[in-house]
Amino acid sequence: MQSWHPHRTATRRLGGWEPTAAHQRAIVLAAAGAIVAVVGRRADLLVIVTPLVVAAIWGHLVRPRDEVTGTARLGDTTLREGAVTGLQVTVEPPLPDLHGVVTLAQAPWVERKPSSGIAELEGGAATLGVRSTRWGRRRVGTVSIAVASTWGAFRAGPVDLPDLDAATLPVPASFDASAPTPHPRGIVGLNRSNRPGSGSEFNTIRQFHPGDRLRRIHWPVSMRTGTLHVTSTFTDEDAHVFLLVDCFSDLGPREGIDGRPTSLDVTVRAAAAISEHFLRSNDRLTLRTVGAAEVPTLGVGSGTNHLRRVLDTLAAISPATERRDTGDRAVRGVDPNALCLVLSPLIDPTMVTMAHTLAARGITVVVVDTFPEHLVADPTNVYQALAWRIRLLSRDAEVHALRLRGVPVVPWRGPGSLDQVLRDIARRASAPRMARR
Amino acid sequence: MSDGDGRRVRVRRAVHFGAGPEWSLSQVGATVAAMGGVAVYLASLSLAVGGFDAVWWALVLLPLLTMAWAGSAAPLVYWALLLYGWFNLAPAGSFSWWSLPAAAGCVVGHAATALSASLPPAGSFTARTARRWARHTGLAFAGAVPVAALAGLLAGRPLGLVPTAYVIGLGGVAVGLWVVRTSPPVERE
Repeated sequence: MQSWHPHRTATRRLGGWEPTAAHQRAIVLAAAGAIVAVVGRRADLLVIVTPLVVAAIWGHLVRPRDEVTGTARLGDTTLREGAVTGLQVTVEPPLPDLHGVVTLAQAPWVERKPSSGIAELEGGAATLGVRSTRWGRRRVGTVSIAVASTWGAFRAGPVDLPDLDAATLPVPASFDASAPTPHPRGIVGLNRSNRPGSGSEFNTIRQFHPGDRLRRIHWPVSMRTGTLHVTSTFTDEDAHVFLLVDCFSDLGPREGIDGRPTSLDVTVRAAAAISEHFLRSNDRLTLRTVGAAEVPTLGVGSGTNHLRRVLDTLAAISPATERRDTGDRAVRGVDPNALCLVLSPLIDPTMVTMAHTLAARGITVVVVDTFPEHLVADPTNVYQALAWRIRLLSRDAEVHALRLRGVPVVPWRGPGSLDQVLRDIARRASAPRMARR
Repeated sequence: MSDGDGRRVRVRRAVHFGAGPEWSLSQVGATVAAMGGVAVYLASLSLAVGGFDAVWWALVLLPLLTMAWAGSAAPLVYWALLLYGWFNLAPAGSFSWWSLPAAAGCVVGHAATALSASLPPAGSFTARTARRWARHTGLAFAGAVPVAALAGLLAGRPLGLVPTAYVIGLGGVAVGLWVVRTSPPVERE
């Protein structure tokens, strides 16, 4: 997996101290006013310009001699969507009466607090809030620092610091599934398998064999029959879940966590939710993406650390950056016993073809439709809504073809989206089927 | 103001002039202070010289009109104009105690414009910064009081003041040049 090294700290010298227009104004008015007052015998004019003389001399005498260095430090380089972190800006050395301003430039999907992105340096330090509103890896915004001495007489900057960047992990949508995952084959997990063994799901009551645990002895049956009987259970096993994420399409306005989701927002958040659910159930999970360049390949794994890797991988997605991707690389070496979940808005034909390909290999495939409904329900744009309706008609034909092949297509609805289809798959697996002899 | 959870939320208020940039209330306050400085100066001038044409009161609006150019030479130009007005209207050899509030108006206008120029239009400054600038302004104005007292004492007395004033003025210029010198001298590129 490629490593991601976000820039958390940026430091730069603010350069030399330059006289400002205010200082030059004070000098010119003070000098000219004093000369004119003396030459023109206007004592009151001398009185008027005296404070300017004081300001000019004061500002000049206390001007800073040391070069100042500005440092910006981001509190967290890994955020969740909607989370806020602090941007601490300091100026070294902290000079007395230093008056400075920090400006954080606007960046897409980054909210600044305060909303102007401007904070005053107090005691050589300032703090701004940064809120990331959409998943992904991106720059936080350019930090600019300017400092002025007493009377605003001399100024250093404004200087742009090197860019800081952060990764924003998708907030998993709420998801839960009560149906068991099909084809459990592992040694740990919570899914009931068809094999008897150590587990929690009741199988039968049978006679005691050497090696059976004493706490499994079923005393009522043993007393009634006169021989020892034990409670037998099905073993609990883990399953392998293969997630295939469609990165070809990012349909809809990108409004971030506070607005309406795009198709890729729905896809990514659904993938995060499904991953979180299965990984917390100790199942193994593989994530592959199609249509996005430079997304690190993630192997099989389980547990909380793997969930973090999955979320990092999802955050690295840049939509439609690899249009020529046929998906062959993504589905290479897929475990034939894995439950393959294809998350896609089914707009790009590549994903439909891949679902057909996987189903043809005999893999259990479920397509999760992540098309956001608000795209067609937009009453403000009649022509766009009409275009979507026409496109969805052709999409319906593709969905129908998938269903004819036995690939269920379920819309993403959050909790319980996969319950019915997983139960159907489990029932189908246990049903009698034709076999060649 | 507090949000639904009872936490205190700081509301940032800003002003837009047409399609121009956003101006913070701090910036508007600094501009109003600069306008107040000009108004005090003009009022002092009016009282010192016995009034002038009412149209010149429109000069009060200059800081507002040039607030987007606070960091430029525009404030220098209009303050030069205002000082010339005093030079032109006040009779030679006279002294008015109204020059003291005029000095206050002048330094307040200068400080407010300098503070405004040190911030971007949407930038705000804290009350602590405002107090520090007010303290500095007060100290600078305090320098005008002994000068005014001295001028008040010497006003109307035949002390052969002109040669003395020349010496003081040239001494001031020398001190000014010494202060603004660069060490070592800046080399020509």
